[in-house]
Amino acid sequence: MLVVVSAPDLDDHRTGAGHPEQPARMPAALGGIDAAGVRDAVVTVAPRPATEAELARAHRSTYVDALRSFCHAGGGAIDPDTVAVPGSWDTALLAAGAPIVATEALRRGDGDAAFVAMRPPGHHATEDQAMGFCLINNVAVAAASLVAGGERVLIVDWDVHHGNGTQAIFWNEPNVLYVSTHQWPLFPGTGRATETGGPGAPGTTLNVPVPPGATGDVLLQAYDEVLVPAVERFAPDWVLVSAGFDGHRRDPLADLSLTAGDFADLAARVHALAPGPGRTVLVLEGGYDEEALRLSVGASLAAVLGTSFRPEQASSGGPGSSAVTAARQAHEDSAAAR
Amino acid sequence: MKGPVTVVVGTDGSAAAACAMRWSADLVQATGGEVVAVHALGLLSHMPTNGSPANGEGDRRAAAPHTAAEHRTQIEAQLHRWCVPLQASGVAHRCFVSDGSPVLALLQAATDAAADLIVVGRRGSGGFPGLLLGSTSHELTAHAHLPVVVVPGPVEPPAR
Ligand SMILES: [Zn+2]
Repeated sequence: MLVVVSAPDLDDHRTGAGHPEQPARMPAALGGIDAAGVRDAVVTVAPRPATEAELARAHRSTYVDALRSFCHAGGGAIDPDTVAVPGSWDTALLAAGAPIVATEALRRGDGDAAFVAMRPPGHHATEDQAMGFCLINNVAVAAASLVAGGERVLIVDWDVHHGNGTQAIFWNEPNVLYVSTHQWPLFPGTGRATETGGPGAPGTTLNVPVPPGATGDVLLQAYDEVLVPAVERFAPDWVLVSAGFDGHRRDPLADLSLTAGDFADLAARVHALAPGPGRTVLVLEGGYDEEALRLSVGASLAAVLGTSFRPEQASSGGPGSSAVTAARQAHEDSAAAR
Repeated sequence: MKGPVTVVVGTDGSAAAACAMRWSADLVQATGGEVVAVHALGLLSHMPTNGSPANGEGDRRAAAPHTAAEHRTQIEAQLHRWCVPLQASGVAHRCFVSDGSPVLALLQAATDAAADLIVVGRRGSGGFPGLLLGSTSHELTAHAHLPVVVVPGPVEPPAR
């Protein structure tokens, strides 16, 4: 069974006409469930707002207070990309609480994996800065809660952009392994292979930047050569996925060549890294072409359920293999230097 | 400030940024040193917008090309036009594009260049006085470990 946490009816985060991160993304993502024909396997769970204490594990209280005040004062543009309106506060709290609800449901035995379809996305939000459409770092809030309970968390970030916020929040946290594949160069400009974690947690951040045009086989190579060996050493209790689908070839914000079939492969590979059933949570991040989002979510959910929905064939033959090799080498060099 | 200074200045091709650039050039002309001009490529930089996404800057992006990679090339090609105030002054300078939010890009550039100060133009954009959110200059002063100078832009009609 698959736990799905979503609340499109409670979505009051209005970003304005023309903004690609908009409420219509949620029905598109949830449409993947029917597209993949897995409706009968879905257990729907309602989100709840994250508490102050939960937020405080990933964000500074001064930032949380400023964000709340900003929204309640009417909101506005936080930077050229990121906007908030009065309704953004409650919506963001729900998005931050939703991955925690997912882990609680899985802990009760409600499913083998979970999918969280909420917005705004989170992985660019740092402990004290909103950016890149993100207000609160939803995955980081959930991971920090699990770490506070004494558990070890793998975060796999396959969004096309580097999750600078998640990386920064757990830079010195030895109980979180953060592994990201992302287009390079691209927003937000972080995520070089040489960024491998702080002095308190060396080797627990692993970045694999790949060039525009990179295909699914390149990311699978990164998973085989970088992700899998690192996870075997790390032995996580939980696998959280920053599941952005803006690496799809039709996405308007980036230039990778992935297809829905590739996301099925990535999801199956990541789910297999969990220590057992009920320990994988896919959390939606980016993905701005609605049809690509629908098909890619459907393919991913089918894959974690062990069935097949591949409306588009996996891609291969794009550039990036040498970039993966270079990243692996950089990780080995930094490990040897420790 | 004595001796040569390194100034990081933000640019986006706006009139306010040009004022900040001229102020930076004047300073470096007096002290010696270098001006480093940075343009931040955001998530939406290459997106064509119909109507404006709350920040009212859709016009700048109207003639956007199709891909992020093409946009980067195009911006790099036109950056020298934005840096005309620096060229005209004759001071040592560099201009480059950087990915990220304006705040992140400026702070990173300042670190990389071991800068003495950051200079930005003041725009009448979103945000509320007194809050940490909502303007590059507010965010910079909250996060920077070096002086931040906010240069008034060209005179604008009062808001509302
Ligand atoms: Zn993204």
